[in-house]
Amino acid sequence: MTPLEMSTVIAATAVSSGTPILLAGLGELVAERSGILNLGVEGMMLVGALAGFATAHATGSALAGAAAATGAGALFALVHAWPTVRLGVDQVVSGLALVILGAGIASAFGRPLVGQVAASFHPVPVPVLSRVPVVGPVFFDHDPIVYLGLLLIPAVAWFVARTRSGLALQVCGEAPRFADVAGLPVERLRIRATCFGGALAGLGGAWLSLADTPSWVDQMTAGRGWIAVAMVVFSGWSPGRLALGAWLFGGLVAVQFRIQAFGVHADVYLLKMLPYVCTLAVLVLAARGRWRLKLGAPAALGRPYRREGPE
Amino acid sequence: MRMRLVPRGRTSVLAEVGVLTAAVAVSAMVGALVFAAAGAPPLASLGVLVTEPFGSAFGLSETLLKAVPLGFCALAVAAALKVNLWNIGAEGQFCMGALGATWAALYGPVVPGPMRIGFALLCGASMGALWALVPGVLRTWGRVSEILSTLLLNYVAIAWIEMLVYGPWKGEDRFPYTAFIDAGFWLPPLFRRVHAGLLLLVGIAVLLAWIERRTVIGYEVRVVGASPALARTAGLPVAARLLAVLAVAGALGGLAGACEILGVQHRLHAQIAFGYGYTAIIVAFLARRDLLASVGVAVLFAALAVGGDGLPVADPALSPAIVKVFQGVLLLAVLSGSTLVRYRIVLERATPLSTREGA
Repeated sequence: MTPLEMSTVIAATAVSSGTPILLAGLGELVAERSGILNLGVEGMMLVGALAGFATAHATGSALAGAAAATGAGALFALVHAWPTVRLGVDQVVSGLALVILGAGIASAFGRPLVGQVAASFHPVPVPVLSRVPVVGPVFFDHDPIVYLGLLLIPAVAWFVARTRSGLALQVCGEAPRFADVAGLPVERLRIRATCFGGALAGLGGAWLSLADTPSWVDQMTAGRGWIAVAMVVFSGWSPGRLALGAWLFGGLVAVQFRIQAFGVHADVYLLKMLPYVCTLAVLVLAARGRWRLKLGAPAALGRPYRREGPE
Repeated sequence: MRMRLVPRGRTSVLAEVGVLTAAVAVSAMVGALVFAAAGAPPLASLGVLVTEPFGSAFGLSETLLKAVPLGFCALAVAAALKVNLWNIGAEGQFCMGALGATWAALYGPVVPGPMRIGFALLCGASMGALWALVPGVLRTWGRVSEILSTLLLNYVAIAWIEMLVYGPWKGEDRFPYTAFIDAGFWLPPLFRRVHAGLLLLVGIAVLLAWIERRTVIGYEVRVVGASPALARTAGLPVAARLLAVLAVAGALGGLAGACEILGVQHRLHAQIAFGYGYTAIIVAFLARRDLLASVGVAVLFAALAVGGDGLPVADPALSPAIVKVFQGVLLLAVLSGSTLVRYRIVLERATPLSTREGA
């Protein structure tokens, strides 16, 4: 293999392996833009991965699986959205509860599905574009969920920055009192944004169980939900930079699985640590040095909004 | 109709007890639903969760056995919460503690007989403390959220143990375990499988609670926790105190792992931490961040875990993981309930402000 072919393979794997981080991260980004911090991404991904696999197993349709995962993720996000938005419950604790609850549900109900097979997604090369050298295999030779993730990058960026609803979302996250005075339904918008986040997290989880390694393995997300939360911080709440973070993670996964095939000897377990260590490094970069974020988190992130009481 | 939260004038103890009871009832109902969904008799299965840990001397001893690692991890979470830091990394600190204790017993310097156990515990605690100092430094110097960094390091710790038990530390047989440690390093048994780690846990919890309430250091930590800005104005080295508290928290997590090696498992393997570090977050929160209460709640949650282990025995359709669902629901229910203690819900029709009473 020439170095160019080698890097093309790595880049293509990076784009697909980054998909769960990208999807879950875009969802979390929208939720956080509305002012709701949802640390429960890992739990929502696990619930989505299980719902997707179980549905695909029962119906024989991967598409039905993906739809079920999206719905299950959105519904499960309500478990966080309702108490935090309506009752003003602490968002950190509620998010942690969601992780533990989601992991418990997935592991308790997934047990009979271990070792089963289900319908899965396969790569669908885009006609013409997939034959463009380098760019073709990297971006246009994947399964449909990967394409959806790629399309959502500009879509979410456009929605948040350029539409009326997106601006309403931003006001809820920056200054909920102004949003309320302007007649925006702060609570409803925040619940919707959180559920949107859950839907994308569920779909990201389903990519793992329906496309990446079509099977059900307990705890199969292996911390990807947390990496997604970290990448949202790194992204500075901007979808473009989030994609960079997701692909960085994907690249590390790609290196982990491909490096031995290229005849390079490296310790498997050191490679396994790499994504987590690099995520930490990236968080430091976002906080310090030349990569420092110009804009911080949404001003009201993590703070419950009540009409009465102090701002 | 829309919902409005109105602060209550005062909160009553009775209401808090009521909320706790209601939360347990809600969790039990959700548990019963999960049991029914799995095709098991709901009430009998709930009964297993109670009879298994408390119904026999064996169950009771298993409960106390599990309470040691869970209690230490809960202390690790609760200690960090004293300065408003979320230690989601007790799982990783547990792993590092187990690693340190195993190193001391298998590869460490020769230590005179009676000091061996103490040395191994010290190695475990130090490894845990060092592991927790990484997020501490990242937080104070790098402004990185300790929630994310402590959690991400859990995965690094587990990969590190895997690297050792599949590689240089692998024992004689073909499984990914280290060799057994010398019996001279074993924590002495108290009764059945329960070991002296239980006494250590209670002793350390009491000591820490005393330090928190009665010493200058404890007072300073409380000031830093209550208001970092005030502490800074008063000339307290806030960053140094945060680091010190995290180091203590890490040492506690490390002791959990060390006790598990020296008292129960006697050899290192990759599944050593078993999720205690995550359950500990719920325990510390339900204990209202109090150190002594954390140990008490840890015993209750250890009982729940023992009950969970009994589930597949009672009905093969059930998984011990159902207990986690139970724990998650309990936490969410208590969380929502405690809001209702402080606020009352008023349902009102959406009316223009001007027509509202008193406006």
